[in-house]
Amino acid sequence: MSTPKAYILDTHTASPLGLGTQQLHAALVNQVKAKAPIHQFDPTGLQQTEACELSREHEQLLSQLPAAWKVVADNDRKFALWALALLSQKTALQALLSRVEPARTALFLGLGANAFPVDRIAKAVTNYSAFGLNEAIAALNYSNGFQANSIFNHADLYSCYFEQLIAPIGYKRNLMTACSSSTQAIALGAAQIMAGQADLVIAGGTDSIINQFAYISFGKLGVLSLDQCKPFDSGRSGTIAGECAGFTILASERFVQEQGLDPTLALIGFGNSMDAYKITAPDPSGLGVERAMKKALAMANFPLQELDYINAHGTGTRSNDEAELRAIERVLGAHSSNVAVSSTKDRHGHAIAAAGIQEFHVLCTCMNQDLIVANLSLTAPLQTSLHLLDQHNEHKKIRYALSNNFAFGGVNCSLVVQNLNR
Amino acid sequence: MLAALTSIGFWENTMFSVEGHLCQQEALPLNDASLTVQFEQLEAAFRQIQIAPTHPYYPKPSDLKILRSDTVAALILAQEMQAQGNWETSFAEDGALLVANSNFIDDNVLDFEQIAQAIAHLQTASDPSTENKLFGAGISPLLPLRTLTNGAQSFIAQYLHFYGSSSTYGSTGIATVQAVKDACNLMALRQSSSALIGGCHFANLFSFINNCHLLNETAGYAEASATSFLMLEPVSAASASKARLWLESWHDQRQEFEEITVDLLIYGGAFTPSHDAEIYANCAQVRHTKSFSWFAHTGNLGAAEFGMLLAAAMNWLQAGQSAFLYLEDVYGVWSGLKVSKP
Repeated sequence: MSTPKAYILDTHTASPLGLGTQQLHAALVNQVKAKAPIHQFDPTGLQQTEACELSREHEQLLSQLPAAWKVVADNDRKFALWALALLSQKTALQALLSRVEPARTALFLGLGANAFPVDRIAKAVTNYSAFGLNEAIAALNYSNGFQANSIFNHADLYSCYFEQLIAPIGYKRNLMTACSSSTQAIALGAAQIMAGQADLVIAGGTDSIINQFAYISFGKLGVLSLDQCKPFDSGRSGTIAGECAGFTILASERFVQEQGLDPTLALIGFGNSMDAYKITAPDPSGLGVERAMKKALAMANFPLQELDYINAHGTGTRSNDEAELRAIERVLGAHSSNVAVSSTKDRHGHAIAAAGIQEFHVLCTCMNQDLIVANLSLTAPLQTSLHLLDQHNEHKKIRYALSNNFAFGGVNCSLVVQNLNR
Repeated sequence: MLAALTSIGFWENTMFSVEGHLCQQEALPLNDASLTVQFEQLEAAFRQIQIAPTHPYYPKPSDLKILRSDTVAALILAQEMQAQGNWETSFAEDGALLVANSNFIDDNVLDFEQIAQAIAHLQTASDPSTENKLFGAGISPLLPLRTLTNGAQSFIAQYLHFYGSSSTYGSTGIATVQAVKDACNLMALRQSSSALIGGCHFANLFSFINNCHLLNETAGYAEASATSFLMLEPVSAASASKARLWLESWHDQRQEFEEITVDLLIYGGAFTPSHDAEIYANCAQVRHTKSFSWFAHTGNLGAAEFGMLLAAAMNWLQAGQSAFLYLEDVYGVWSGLKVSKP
């Protein structure tokens, strides 16, 4: 018996490439790169002063937030992005969730690390020691009156806010596996449907490292390019910081039939694996990555020659891209030259814990529009038998596609999507 | 029937067992931790795990740079359980490793002094460029590594040579319940042959900062650093012979409670005595002969608490008896699980 499908009803993101599917599609077709001077803090003096941020125009939506929540959003960018994604889809989400018992719903979120609002804390510190820092945090961190603190919160905050703004949810999960967080949220959300535990699942995540604390810390890891993000290019020198929040709506066959819906896409396989190689570096052989893809494809169970596209993790870093390409080559074997492979991180940046939902939205948009997006910054491709799409998008039906994301700590996750109108 | 619990281990203060053995309920000492922090005119008492650096499973010095003490404890416990347990050899390849821990937010605690010093540098900065350079100079590259390596989960995978499916879950007690639910789904879909689910908790000032404003009152606030791990296997003839507890059914609708009759009601998630009473009131509709909460003995156990609830059921139920486990977190998110002793 084949594994039940998790039907994809809709996907929505607030990202540097726009708010919602229409804007994302236009940005992909028009080959937009969102990289621009950072506006969230003054990066003067840093080696890299550009990143991919949401446009200020979209941030206007946050003015809808009540004052009690505004203070949380002011201190926590990923909460602001999550609020923005939800506010822009509030009516649609409420309408959909009203059609199912709360007990049969679930919310799976992939979340990034908390960041200190450095400038505000620095202004409040009078005694420059850990004790003084504690005192400053005590003065700044207070209850907003709605189960949230003004600065530091548990991961549960984001699902609690969802319930306050949108509707009650039966099951809630928070996953914090760094760059594969929201990919895992989508995978485990699909598992909830496939195992018959839910009829409607909202799965996604939110993250941003574009704040003084995280950006400077991340820069010290040496993974941010001082020039361009060039995935799969022999001249690649690092990734570019990004940010995103969003969700996909997954449904069971029962819900789809009862509601008379006609979804075009379904999530039919996922695979998780660990490198178990080294805490601070991925396995250069890509064996863990290979295992994740193989598990996802085995679960999806379709002829490999019908796989048309892979949206790669493709960070543009020295350590990721080579290992990922070799792993894909081994998984595809004789089919490798028929499968288009691209990374879109040079367009929207690396959204860390939200990379999964950002790239899943790109993938779903491409599948619905018969579009295969190019490696926009590729000029000197790494040697490979794969079809690394070079700068120009292609228009082609995608029957099956795979999306990869990998994280620090060696956590790998792959998703397989089927086009039901193939 | 959802799954068979075949192995359990825990570590809290001086309570340590890789086989899940507890003393009799009546013999458990009450929490004698004294006040350890005063903050915003509030007070809290924490219990900590004492870990000897000479322990044979103590992590490598290079890893210690990015490990918290609760993660070290989890790592030692998981290795001890692996060494003494009879886990299926297939676990390393196609099992699931799902760990809830108070990572990310607590990671920063280790760096408080460093962050304070870095912020101190900002006082001398006259412009943004100098400010950024000074702040950057004060922050170690280890800081992002600590927050991005997923805490206990990826370290355990590395030390146990685990290659299967794994995830890091959120930072409150309910996160471990979520991990158990996901493990049941993964086993039902045959994505995982078995599942090691763990939780570890770092009781400290930062945890207190996160929780104190969410409680109705903070008098008697108490937490304990702790870790617990449990091995689940699908219900089968093979697991029946080694099952130490059956996970029977989830109960996530309060209206179901009055229909449930058990020998023992075990509830958890409280941070204060009044919170403990509030949580008991929220599940007391379940018909029970006896009840138990860890709070009076340890304080809140964070993500390690659900494993401790299961350990209590495993130890104190007689064959054929059942228990209802109820866990509620600081946000009021809760879940109920009925278990029985084979």
